[in-house]
Amino acid sequence: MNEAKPQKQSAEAKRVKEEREKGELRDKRNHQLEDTRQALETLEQRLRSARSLVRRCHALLNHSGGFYQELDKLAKGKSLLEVTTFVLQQANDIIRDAKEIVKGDVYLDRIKEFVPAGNNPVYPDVLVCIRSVRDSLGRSSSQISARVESIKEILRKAQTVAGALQYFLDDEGGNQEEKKYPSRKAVDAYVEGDMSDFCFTRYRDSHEEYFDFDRLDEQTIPEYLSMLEKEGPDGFDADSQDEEDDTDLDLSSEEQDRGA
Amino acid sequence: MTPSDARSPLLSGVSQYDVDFVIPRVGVDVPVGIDPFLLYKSRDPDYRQLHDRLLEAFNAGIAAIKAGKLQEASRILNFPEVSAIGLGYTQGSKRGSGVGTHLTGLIIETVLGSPSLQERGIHHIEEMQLVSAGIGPDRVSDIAANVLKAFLIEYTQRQCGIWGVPLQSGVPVSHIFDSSSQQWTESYEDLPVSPVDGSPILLVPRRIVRTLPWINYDDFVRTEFNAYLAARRQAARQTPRATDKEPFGPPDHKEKQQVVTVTRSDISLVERYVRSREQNAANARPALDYIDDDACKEAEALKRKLVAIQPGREQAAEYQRLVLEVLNYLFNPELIDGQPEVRTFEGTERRDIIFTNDSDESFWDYVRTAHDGILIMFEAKNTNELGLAEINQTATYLGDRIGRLGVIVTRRTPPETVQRKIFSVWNDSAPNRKVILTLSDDQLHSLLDLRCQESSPTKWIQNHYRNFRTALQ
Repeated sequence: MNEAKPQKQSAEAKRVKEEREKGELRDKRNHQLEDTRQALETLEQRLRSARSLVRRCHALLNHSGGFYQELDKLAKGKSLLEVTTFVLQQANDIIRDAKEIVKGDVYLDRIKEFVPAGNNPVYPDVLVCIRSVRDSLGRSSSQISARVESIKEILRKAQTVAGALQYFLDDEGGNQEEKKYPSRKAVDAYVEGDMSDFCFTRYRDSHEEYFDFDRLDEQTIPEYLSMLEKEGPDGFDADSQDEEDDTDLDLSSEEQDRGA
Repeated sequence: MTPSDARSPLLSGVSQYDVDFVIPRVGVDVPVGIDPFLLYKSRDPDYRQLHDRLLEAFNAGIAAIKAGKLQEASRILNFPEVSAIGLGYTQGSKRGSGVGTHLTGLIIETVLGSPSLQERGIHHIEEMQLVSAGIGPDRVSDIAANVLKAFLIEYTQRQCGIWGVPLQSGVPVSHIFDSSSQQWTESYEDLPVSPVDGSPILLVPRRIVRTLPWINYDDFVRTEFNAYLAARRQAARQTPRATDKEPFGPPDHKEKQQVVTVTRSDISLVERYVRSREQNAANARPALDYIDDDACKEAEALKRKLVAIQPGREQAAEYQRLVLEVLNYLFNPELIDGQPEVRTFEGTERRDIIFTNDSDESFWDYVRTAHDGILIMFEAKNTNELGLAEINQTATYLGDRIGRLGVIVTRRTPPETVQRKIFSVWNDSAPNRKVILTLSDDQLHSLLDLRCQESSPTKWIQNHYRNFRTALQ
């Protein structure tokens, strides 16, 4: 009897420990879900902003294209004539708008709005300037479009993570082992739209995919989503582009510590 | 007196390039005259008022003729030559034709012969050239000089004060028009006198002189009157009658009498011509061709003076005067009536120069509109190290009274911190932005070289201004 008691105590301690670890893991998943939701919000704003930039960029390309063509016609034989004040205002508006859309383009940075100071610039100068602005917009347009695709991919990743975490925290889900290694199918039920392949790992034997929590736990959520950098790879500052977008994607260091 | 002696300036110690007035010569008149149109088109309200005064006096004479008071008219319309200004078209001499009384008779005769002129009065005294055979550009200048004599006395005294020209007390001056009483008066004034014959000297602003008045007979005949003749010929061809004869051949000076007979009876010809000249007022520029000194020698002399002045308070006054000379050399007659001022600001002495911006050049016109005012302040800072305090001082002074563009003329290009401060003055002064430009010794040298090469210092300043505005973007 005396021997049975320590065994019973040991089993009890193990159960308590397991319960505690289970509780801790649940807390951790809750925090991860919270961070993921926050990241989702930021990413959605960033996507709206980038899409808005694409629209503005295309609209300005279109507008400046018409302006350039007309100016080109007007400039024929007027090489030393000053442009009208209206044309000057339009040109300055195009330069100003382009600078708001495109950041980090050294060639656009070199172009400044015209300061008439009593004499408007001559037709060829305005023409050349608008051509450079359009070139810069053209370069930027493809970069911003690529940026939209990149944000969409990160967003898919975040939605997949959120789905996996929700599945884990859902009391009515599968057993403990299934929750530790959720199948693609199980997670899919919690995700609207496409999922990211990045989040899944294949079993060597069955080749079935499971959501890899081990990989998620190695990093903070922003690190996992590869979205710590504030500026996009093309150099434009996505966050500053849209007046609606005033949030910062970076989580506080406290949250990052917690996530880790 | 040799011809070169006769052409030498009557005032010593000043150069024609560096001052605001026409320097009279020893033995000959400067071949320009006062053009009242330049007063009429001026942005300076004081100048425009002078034009009003001129018309008021003349139209008072016309009203007297209309009322049959010929004696009163003779008294008012009495315009003897004002030899003290030293301007005129007499070859090789300083004395004009001395036709004061004759001029009065001419004017009265002209007005009496033109009821339409009596009815309408005149809008510019230059119109008298177009209705009287005996009145030419020199008479227009005489009339203006007589009526404006009080202004010329005051202007002369002010300029002599600026340039240190000695004045003689109690110089008798006759025939000064008092616009309030419409009387000619006499007085004793402090004026410079000719070292040659002791006669008084009156200085005339460069801004108001032209070789020919903007409204002049030759131009009238070439444009309006020729068009009138062409129309007459056309009408005569369409309705040929045996009695019709060609009214005129191509008009020349001998036929002026015939031309004025037409204009006296049909004053609308004059009116149309004057209106077209008013519409082209921007092209009416003051004369510069009477300045025959070597511009490059003057530029070199100014550079040497600049190098000789040491930075620091001791030579601040000399520096201020030199800056005034340089600015006159560069920008007169676009910027006129440059006046040095000395003020105390929070215990420190400020030396600035205020110019009136009466220019028709596009840049100065832009400055007048964009920076609110016809005055431009140049602050002379004889220091190698322009500081933030000086920028703050200048910014404080810019405003409604002297406009919002100021230029600090200093010895060296200011450091980056000062430049940033100047940018912040612009940024902080929205919506009525204040612009502070700086000019260093090196830049003044470049500007002097430009002027010597007959390039435009105004274009340089325009670019300087553009660079400032572009750097803000």
